[in-house]
Amino acid sequence: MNTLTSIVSTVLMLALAPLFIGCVRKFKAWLGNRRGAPVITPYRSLATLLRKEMTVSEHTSWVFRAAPYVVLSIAVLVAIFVPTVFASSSATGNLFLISALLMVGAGALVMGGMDAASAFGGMGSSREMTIAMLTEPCLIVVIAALGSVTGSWNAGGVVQAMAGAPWWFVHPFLIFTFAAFAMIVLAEGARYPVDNPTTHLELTMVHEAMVLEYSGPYLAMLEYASMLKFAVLALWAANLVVPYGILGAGASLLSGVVVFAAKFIVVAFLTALLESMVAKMRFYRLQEYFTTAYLLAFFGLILSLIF
Amino acid sequence: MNPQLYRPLVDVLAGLMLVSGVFMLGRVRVRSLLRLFAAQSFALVLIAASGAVFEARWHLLITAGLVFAIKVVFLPLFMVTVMARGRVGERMTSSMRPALSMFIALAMVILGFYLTTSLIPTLGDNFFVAAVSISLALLGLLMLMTRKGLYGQIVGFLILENGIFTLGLALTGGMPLLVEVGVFFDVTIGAILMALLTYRVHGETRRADTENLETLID
Repeated sequence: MNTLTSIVSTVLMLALAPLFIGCVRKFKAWLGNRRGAPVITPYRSLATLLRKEMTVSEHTSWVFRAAPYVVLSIAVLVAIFVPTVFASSSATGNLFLISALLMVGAGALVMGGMDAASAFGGMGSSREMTIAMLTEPCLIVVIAALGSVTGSWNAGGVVQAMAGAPWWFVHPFLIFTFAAFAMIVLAEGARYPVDNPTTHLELTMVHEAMVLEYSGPYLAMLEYASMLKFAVLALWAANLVVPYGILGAGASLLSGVVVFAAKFIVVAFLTALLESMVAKMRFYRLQEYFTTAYLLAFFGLILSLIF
Repeated sequence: MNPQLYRPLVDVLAGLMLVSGVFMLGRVRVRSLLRLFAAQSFALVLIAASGAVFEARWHLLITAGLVFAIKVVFLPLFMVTVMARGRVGERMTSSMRPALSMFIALAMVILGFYLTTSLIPTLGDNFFVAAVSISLALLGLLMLMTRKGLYGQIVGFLILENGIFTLGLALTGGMPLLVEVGVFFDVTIGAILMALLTYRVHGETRRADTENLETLID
């Protein structure tokens, strides 16, 4: 039963990730008084990319061709291990494993970005590595706080334990941890204020600079992996803050689906709202952002250990 | 309304007040600081209003309305207006870098929680709100001490007041209305005076710092 539900929820997440990004774009357009593209546009652009011819520079090695596969499979693994639709301690992954997987994915993308030896790729890779290096300790500390509060070191187990409590504010001290986690999700998902997902301006792009040399199906794989990673992490954050009604923690199938849909919409809207309010940070100010995230995570851990 | 919702709702709002307080310590621009302050005060409004609705203490609605009118709308707008009039720069000066002041702020929060456990052991359900308000008072004090500019100091003072107000709300269910109106009057007049003082100080010395005032003897 667990395995089946896990497979179904993963497939659901794989199918819905582009829709999530489409929703974020749509809401963002609405907030800016524009009509916006249809929410299914990401599916169409992925399909277009898949049909297009692929151009690979002759100066690239096998690393360039391997990177999209590694990045995509890591993103799918993360989607399996993270509780999005369904939480169970037997069907989801260890928290540290998830953070290590995210780092491996970042590493593969960095290698792929550098392999073509274009100036932009190297620049984007250097930035991405800096960001990944600063994100990792914050994520580990956040995980430590979550694990020590709930007593489970499993992503699904954490959500289950929280959903089982009368209200997650039996651990109100986790508010700092949640704030730090939200900041990390934005950084990992290459969204504002860390990275601008729509720009191709050399001064600001991080993720886009690394995938600049890719085209056709490879680009589709990388884009899809990025969408999937952000959607999964954002919904994980939503499940941590409001764990109720998730499948696998006492909710019926219908209410589980309804709650999931509600979280999906609300998280997309909140992302769009945030992106409409804040400006992208200058790259050299990012250390302030991550210092804040780390401090919040660290003191969240201390509070959760003391009280 | 479901009375079981009251406690968690107040806890969530208090938590948001605490987080916004910590973020305020790291802000260097007046407008974003005032925006955060308005958000924090709005959480306070919601705490007072939920106290009125869930526990049928209707006089808290008047308090909530006063907080909204004064702290969410009037004071931030007033300070922005005075700032624009006096052409005071957006950037505030502090004796500490933002990251360091956030670090100390979070240490203060830990201290506040610790103080609450040892000072008032019989809080029960109210523990989190009380701890948040004591931490907020400490954060306000920290801001008053570390900021050099008057705007930072005004906001520090107001954060301190927010903390004390929350404590009163959490522990006694709101002070008598007359006392609260008196306190509001004091706070408003104090903030207005300080904002106007900034205007004058800036006019005299071209800086919104209080540092130059220390040499004013006789």
